[in-house]
Amino acid sequence: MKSLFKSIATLRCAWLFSLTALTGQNVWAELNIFATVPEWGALAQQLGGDQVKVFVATVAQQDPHHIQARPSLIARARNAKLVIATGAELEIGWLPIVQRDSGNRSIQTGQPGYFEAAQYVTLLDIPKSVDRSMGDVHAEGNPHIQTDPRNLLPIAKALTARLIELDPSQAQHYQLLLERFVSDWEERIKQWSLRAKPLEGVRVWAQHDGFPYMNAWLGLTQIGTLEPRPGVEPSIAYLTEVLQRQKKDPARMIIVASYLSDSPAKWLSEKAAIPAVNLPFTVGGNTKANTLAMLYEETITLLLKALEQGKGS
Amino acid sequence: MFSLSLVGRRSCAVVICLLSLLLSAQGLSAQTLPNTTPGSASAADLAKIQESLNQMRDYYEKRINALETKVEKLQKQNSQLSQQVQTRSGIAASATPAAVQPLTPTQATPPDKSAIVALAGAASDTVTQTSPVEVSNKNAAPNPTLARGIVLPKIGVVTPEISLILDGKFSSQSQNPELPMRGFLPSGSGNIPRGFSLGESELALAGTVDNLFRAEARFVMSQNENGTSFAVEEAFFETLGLPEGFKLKGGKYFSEVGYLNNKHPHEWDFVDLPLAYQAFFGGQLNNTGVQVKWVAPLEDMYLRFGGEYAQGGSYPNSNNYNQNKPLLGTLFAKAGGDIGVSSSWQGGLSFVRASTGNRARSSVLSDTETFDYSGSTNIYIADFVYKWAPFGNASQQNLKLQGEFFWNTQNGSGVLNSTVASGDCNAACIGDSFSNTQKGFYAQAIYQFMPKWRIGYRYDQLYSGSSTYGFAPGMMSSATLEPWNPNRNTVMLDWVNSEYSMFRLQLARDTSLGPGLVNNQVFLQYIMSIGAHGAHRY
Repeated sequence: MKSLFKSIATLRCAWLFSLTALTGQNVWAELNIFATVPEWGALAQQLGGDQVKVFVATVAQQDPHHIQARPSLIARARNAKLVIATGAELEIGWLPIVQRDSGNRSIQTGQPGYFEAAQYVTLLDIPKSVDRSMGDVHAEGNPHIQTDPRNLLPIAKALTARLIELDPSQAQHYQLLLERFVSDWEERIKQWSLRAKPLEGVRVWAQHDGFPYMNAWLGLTQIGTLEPRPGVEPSIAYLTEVLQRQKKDPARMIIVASYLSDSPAKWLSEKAAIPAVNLPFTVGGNTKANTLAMLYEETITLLLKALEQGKGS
Repeated sequence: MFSLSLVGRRSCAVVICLLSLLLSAQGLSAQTLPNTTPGSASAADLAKIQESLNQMRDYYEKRINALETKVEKLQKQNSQLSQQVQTRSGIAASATPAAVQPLTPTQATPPDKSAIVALAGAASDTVTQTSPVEVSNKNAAPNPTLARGIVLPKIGVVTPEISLILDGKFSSQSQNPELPMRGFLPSGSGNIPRGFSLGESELALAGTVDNLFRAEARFVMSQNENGTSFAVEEAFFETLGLPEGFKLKGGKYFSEVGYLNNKHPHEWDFVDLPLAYQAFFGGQLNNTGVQVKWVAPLEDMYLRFGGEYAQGGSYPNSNNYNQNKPLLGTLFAKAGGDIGVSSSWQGGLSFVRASTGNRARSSVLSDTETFDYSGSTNIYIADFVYKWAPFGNASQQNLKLQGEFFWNTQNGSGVLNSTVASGDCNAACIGDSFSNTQKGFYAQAIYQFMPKWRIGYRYDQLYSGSSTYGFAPGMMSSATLEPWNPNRNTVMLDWVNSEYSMFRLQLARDTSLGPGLVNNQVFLQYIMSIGAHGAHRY
């Protein structure tokens, strides 16, 4: 029996070596990170630098609620040392399968290799009760926390602590990158709030209720959503109702996340003659929003532009 | 409670601190030693290490003290906050208070919290609970709402996910679907009856058992003629903590051979299973046993191997209850990956070996004849799935192509039992030993052309092989086992209101009942699911 184990161990060693030789790189050199959405991928890259290798499971064009547990995701999760998820049930439809099927014990929920960003911020819109007739409502609160850059500070601090826990030999490196990030980010937040002053109190429609954190950050007043219930496409009848409300009690613009089909927003935009703004929502959401900082920069730019347009018409 | 946990936390933190000191000391020596010759660290080096250790100890002690005062402060704040929240219900629903002050203690705590996590993992839970975020949570939603849907009495984290899936059908068919399939040994595969009928009503419970195990059970109530039969469809545990990509499963479960075999009826794209599944597995291969799986540590490709060893109590096995030797074995390999951002694929090869052991499997061929089969069955399956959606966003449009090929080799012998003198066989006739290879495949395409609406087409084909199971032509009076290569064309249209409700219309032309017995079928189906809804496999 012992010799059997020994031979298995030798085999494995030989196999790992051949694997290393084949791929031409050391598979275990860097800390492998599996991020569910682009914003956490970008944050992890910024906080990990060259010590981490980040894989992002989704692209900005995809609806983070509806992702399939694709084979490639299981393969990536198999090698991950750390999974960074949003949490608050955002990934409930696919991540549990990926975690389980990966055969990777270190990324199971409750392990240090599983990080949920939503645990480190205060969630908004926690429903008093949840019923499916309400649509795609998240019992723990609205999960789209990345739309407020201020949320990234506590998340970054917690993530760095986690990186250090998983890779203590590089603690100094991570600490340094965090300090850099925090000072840079605090400065940017100050500048953004200055730039975004004109947006305060501006009334908006949201196509999907994806922006409560951004609204709180910029002081936008969301008067309603085009979706009758979260995740449910609006019918023309419902949009007509929205249009009536808009006529009585007008908003200045309609905001849409870029991963959604914006036809309802366009419809209302034409009928009500207010601009519809396609916001990037995450890193890569449009060509300019290709870094974390540019995500918020671009968001403010687009909102301000829409505000100008609204004034012009 | 808090004072207790505080003491516990302190000692725990100290212990872990010491541990980490030891570890880091090891790490230090490992780092410093290579500079000199191994095993001869100079006194200066040792002194350096000593010094840095002392510094670290001081640092950690200070840090622990600071953290403890912080925790106490937080607890005070916490109790104040929870009182406030109790007096003002619904605070959590209002959008402003929390997000406008991003650097209040609430938001400032987490980094410290995770620092504690880094120092003393075990203590983190208690700290998490003291965070005001959780308090407002609890007060805003006094009934913990679990995994979307059901409001359950608070039983904490031990509440399993519960879901109930209802399935009902209406069908009109030009032939009696209870007639046996021509050319294949009767597999016991259930057919959808004509008229209104209930499909499987599935009650599923699932949850993690502890840090190492997860368990899942699915109970199925299905219509059995005019009554209802209750069955355990799946009841298994699986490991979460095996190293190196291994996973062990035990209990009763759907085998992971092929692609469709472990999909539950509500995940199927058509009302019924492909003919190959009905002919060769008698439905889906489901048995009681153990399964081992392993995922290869590859970066860009999914590669998984697995095997199962099960008792084998139903088709293609015989009754194997209360026997020492399990008689069903499977091996499978799956590979998969992405093609760009819009497409993904998975392919698999599987092997199933089933034997009837020393108990023949008896099947009814006609009112007057039964056939006892003894022997082994080897089944090879190749399966392939390709999925496409623009930018991988399946919500507007998506396409799924899927196909499976089956090779079914039977080696054995048969006994024909006849109650009336007919053909050449009277009473019990023993056939020659035989071997027969049967084949079958299906290929299907499902296209979602707009949100909520999907259309699909499936083509089924079977080849029965030429054996009459060791009997001379004419010896069997019933035609059930006479060679026949049936096919079936199926189209479907379904409307999915949400992930939880679906209506489907399916039309099919099926020749599997034999020559001249074309079964034209119309099905209407609904599937409704309530409660927690587990994530779906690829």
